[in-house]
Order: sequence, then C-alpha cells, then structure tokens
Amino acid sequence: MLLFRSEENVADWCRINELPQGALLTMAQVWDLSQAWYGDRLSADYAGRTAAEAKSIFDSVGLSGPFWSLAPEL
Amino acid sequence: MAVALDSCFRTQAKNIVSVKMDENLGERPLELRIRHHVYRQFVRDMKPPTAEQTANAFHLPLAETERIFRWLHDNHFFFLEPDSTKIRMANPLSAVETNYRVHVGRNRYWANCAWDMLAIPAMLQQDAIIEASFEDDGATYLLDLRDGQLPDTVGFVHFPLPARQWYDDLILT
Repeated sequence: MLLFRSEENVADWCRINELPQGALLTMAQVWDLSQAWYGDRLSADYAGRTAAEAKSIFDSVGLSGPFWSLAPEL
Repeated sequence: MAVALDSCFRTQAKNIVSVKMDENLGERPLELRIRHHVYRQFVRDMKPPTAEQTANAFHLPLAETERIFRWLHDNHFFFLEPDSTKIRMANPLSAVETNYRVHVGRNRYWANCAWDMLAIPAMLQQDAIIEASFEDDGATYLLDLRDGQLPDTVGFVHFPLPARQWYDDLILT
C-alpha cells in the first residue's frame, strides 16, 4: 500500500507502472481501519482472525463490496 | 486455527479456518505465546528477536523454536525472510528500512507500507510522528498524531489488490 498526494495521480502512476488500480482510502479511513485491525495485536489473546471476523472489521469501518470480500472467487 | 489476515503476507484466503481460544495464557498453545513474545520484543527493541534469542527465552531447543517460527510464518502471524528463520515483518512492524518511519516517544520503527505507518500508533495506542514520502511526487509527508486523533491531513493510501489477493504478492500489496 502506497501513499499518494492526489487521487488523480494514482491512475497515472498505475498506468506507468503497469499495475492494477484498486481502492483508494483517505487517511481518516486508513486510521479507522488501523485501529480496528491492529488494536488487539499486542494482546496475548490475539490468535489470528477468521474471514468472517475480518469481514466484520471491514464492515465496521464502511469497507464493503467485492474488493473487500475474503470469500474465494467463484 | 485462524490465520493472521494482514497485508504483506502470502496466503490464500480460502485456507482460513476458525479457532476456539483458550482463556488461560498458561494453557495457550506455545505457538501463540511465542507470537506474543516476538511482538513484545519487537516493540521494546525496535527489532525482532532471533530464533536463538526466542529459544533461550522459552528454554526450548533451537530446532523446535525454528519449527514454530515457520509455523507462525505459514499461518501468517509474522513473515520470515526467504529460506530463513529471520523475521522480516511482524505487521505492522518492519525489520528492514522502508519509506515509512514512525517515531513513538524515544522509539523509532519502520512500517511495512502506508497502511502500516498508521497501524503502528494504532497498535501501540500511543502518540506518534510519522515521516513518509508521497509516491507521486516524492515530497515528504509528516503527520503528528496525538491522543488517538488524526489531524486534518492530505493524502490517500492506494490498495492495489482486492483483500482476497493481498497475500498473493507481498511486494505489490
């Protein structure tokens, strides 16, 4: 995941580097996701995460749809 | 056993299964106690412990500790250097220098990616000053994050691959 100044530059960067354009999150969205995803990482109780638990975290910060789905593609 | 679903690890989401946790740390599988130890040491020392240091801490044979390191790698709790038991990443922490530097008090950490530079203060639940550079123009990015509040800031983080493919290509992700 890379940091960009402007939304417009991402498309150009992806084209130049022949890489796919995926999802673009604001810093506020990434901060919310970071707290939800990593807030328990130093806990002795952390034991990984199921796909359902991961989906729940994505949902909690408003990230939904196929891009954020962990279900295998059919 | 659930796996660690972080970016920057190679896996296939279809391999994910669930786990029932023990409540008592003393009854917790050794692998998870070592995972926890590695993270605590990495945070304290700003570098990950070696397998040998971990073996000594747990009074284990080195070969058994290396087996556990590989198990933790295979299950995406942290990530080893290729053909090695040297820890490269314990997300969001990086053992190698990157473009994402995070200052927490007197400690200095490297983050694996733009997501992880925010994930470090989120994990530590501490104030941080983040230094990075924009990919599009190379300019320096500075962020002073205090009291769990993200200040007004410019910038976007690009997630190139869908979540189900995060682990297919570590570097691209």
